[in-house]
Amino acid sequence: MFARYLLLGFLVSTTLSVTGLSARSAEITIKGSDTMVILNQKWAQEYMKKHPDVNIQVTGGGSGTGIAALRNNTTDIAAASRLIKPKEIQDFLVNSGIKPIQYKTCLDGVAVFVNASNPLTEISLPTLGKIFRGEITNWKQVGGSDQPIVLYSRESNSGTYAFFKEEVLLEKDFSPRAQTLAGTAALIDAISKDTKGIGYGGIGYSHGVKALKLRRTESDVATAPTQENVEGGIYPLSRSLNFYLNPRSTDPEIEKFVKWVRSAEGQKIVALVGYYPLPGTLPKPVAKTTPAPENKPAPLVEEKPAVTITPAPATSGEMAAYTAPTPPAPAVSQPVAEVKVETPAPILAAVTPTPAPTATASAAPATTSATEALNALTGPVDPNAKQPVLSTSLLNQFRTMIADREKSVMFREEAVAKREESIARRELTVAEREASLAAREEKLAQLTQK
Amino acid sequence: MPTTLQDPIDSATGAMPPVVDVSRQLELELRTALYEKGESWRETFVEKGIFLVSLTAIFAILLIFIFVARECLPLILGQVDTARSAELITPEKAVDLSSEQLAVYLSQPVDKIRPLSPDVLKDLVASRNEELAAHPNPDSKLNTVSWPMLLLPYRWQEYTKAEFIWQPTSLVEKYNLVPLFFGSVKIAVLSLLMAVPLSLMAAIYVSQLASGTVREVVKPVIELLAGVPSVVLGFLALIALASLFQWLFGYEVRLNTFVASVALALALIPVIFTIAEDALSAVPQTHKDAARAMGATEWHATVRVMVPAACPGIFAAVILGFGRAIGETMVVLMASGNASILSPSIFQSCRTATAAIAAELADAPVDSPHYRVLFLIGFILFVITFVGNVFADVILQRLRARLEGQRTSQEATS
Repeated sequence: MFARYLLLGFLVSTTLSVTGLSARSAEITIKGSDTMVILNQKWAQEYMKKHPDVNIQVTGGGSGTGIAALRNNTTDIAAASRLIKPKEIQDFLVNSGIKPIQYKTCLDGVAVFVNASNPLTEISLPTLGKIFRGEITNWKQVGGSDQPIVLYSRESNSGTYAFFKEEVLLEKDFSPRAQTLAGTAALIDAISKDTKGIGYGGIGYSHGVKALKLRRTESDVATAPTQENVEGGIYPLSRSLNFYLNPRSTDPEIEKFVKWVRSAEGQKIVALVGYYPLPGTLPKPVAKTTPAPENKPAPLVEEKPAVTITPAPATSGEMAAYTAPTPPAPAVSQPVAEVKVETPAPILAAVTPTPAPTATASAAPATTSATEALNALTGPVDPNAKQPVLSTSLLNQFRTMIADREKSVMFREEAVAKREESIARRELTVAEREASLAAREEKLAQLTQK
Repeated sequence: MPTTLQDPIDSATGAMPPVVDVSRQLELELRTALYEKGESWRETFVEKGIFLVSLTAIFAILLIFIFVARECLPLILGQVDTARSAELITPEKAVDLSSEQLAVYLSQPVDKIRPLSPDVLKDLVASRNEELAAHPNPDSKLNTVSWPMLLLPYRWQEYTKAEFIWQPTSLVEKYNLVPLFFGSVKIAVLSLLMAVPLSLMAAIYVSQLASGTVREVVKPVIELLAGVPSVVLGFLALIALASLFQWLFGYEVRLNTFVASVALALALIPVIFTIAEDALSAVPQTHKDAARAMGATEWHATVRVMVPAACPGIFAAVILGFGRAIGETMVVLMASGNASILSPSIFQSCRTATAAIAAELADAPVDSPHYRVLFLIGFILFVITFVGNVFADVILQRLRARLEGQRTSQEATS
């Protein structure tokens, strides 16, 4: 009798768990880059917490493996730490007739690692290329101690391998003596135990080894793989980590997920894992009640990180736009009036599609607060008409909207402050570079005198 | 008048030729009796069952062979070509060309090109042009999967002399198989040199010289080593052995052939030990007793009588060890450093054929030249172990015949 109840309970629980599983409506698979696996898992965890109806599966295997899986239609998203190759686009076109869709998700610097006991602190890209091609074989030749160089590389399905080969070796072959290891973690472990070793990998891993500063050319200033240098594109080995979407999987949840990843919320996780968020990632758009902000062209902040915007006048101008019965014409914006371009930005062209909500604004200065403006607007309308033009629910909607908007202004002020800071830093580095140039010219002058 | 006997089994088919032989007659009677008791069909049923099971094993091997051979057959027949034509086709012109011409230009199969729309074809050709223009290289006109390229050294662009190069993901893909098989053989030989003396000595000691209690302990412990997964051995080599040996010998490269061979030898020892020990134990104790009666010492009796008598079994053990050494993947993938160089030094890295398949097959697009070359490597490995086993079997037979012949002649003289 007891056994029968047990069986019944088992049956019920299994059916429950099965139906519980099937309640997850969307299944998204992400496959590819080993560099991005931890990041993808964190994203998936957070997103599934917020959207219990979505199930996201994350696997690694290397960027090449992910793109191959995308081609074979066995994954929805391929994570890649390099750009897709023309050959892969061709394979994709031949198999599906459409190109995969690319989204940049965050930034990363590929660091060059040596053992912590190595006296070397900086190296130039051409020298690095010679080392990895096997033309320089002793540390003495680059200013180190007299011992042979042991090269550590990655398996050829690694996106980091492909990136390094393109940027440093200029598409020439690695030295056959380079040892290939199965992952960045294994590589870091090997270098931390080998005083003669040199290798490369994502900056997020640099534990127990030394990351060298890099120079683009012999005469350049060496830059360390720090956040400002990677974001500003000053560090020579900066790259974007990408998602490639399968055009054959049409589930709208996939696009929603990618949008979330590129929003402020998703980018917060990027910083936690140890990579760098996309430049110009603003807090995500707040006003969802009206379609108005969607129509507006608002890429100013996104495309040029080195731009400051005076946020104050935004509110009243926007208010005018919202109270108008027809969708507002985007022409109201006069961006030239408020936008001050500080420096031409040396950037990776990373464009976020999420529109910044308040980038367009009229030139009128904000004298009244937003709530006052609303009251002024609703005040005269009510007594004249029998039926109020604005119903209470609509009014409440507006109120929450305004609150949201004020919040977003605050966010933006923060962002602007940050940006100004980064500009100051950049100016500092420029000054440094100029100083070093001057020093070099002096030296040259001395030499020529001699 | 001759009596005609009817075969009871085949009675349905009609008259049979007369059977005169008495023994045949008896046998027939016996079979009839068994048949009537119902024993016969049960026997045949079991027999057929066992036959079927053994057939599936043969069938599986055949299937593996056919599958691997099918994947690399176009390569063996010279139908795969990585050479790229010199003249460019503009995207506008692409629509007017035939599918066959485009397929050659794009190095894609024709049946995949044929159903594509003109727009897609334009995209394809544009992308292909971009690829070709990026890094012009005279070597791109070569067919790098032809047999001379696979087996002979060649002086590539940007190299100073003719070399054997395995660089499958390169602008010009270089598929020379020599470094891989050199690495495989180097590691296998080195690990056998370590494992064979150790395991044979252990087997002789355990089966012949050790006391009962020692044997009870040592034999299961060595056989327990066979239960250690190869990935664990590889991990041990990668983390512990590599650092230890570098500290001991002070060599240049931390992960190298020597480290991998030691770890591989640990995997080979239980295999060789178990079979050799069984072979030695299978020699009748009477041989040894006879030798001792003639005045031989324990050691003499073991080395001069028991070991030669078990020789075929010991030889089989070594051959099986060689098969394991050539085929082992995980240990060498983790501990050998995986650099595809031709170096006689045992303290340099090497890349084996099996490690190349394991590391690269996931990345190779299906039906690409790289994919086919990897299957060719698998095919060659299959052939090597197959030929090795057949060769070993022949030698085994001869050895056994010679030993048995000697024994009979000894018996005759005594």
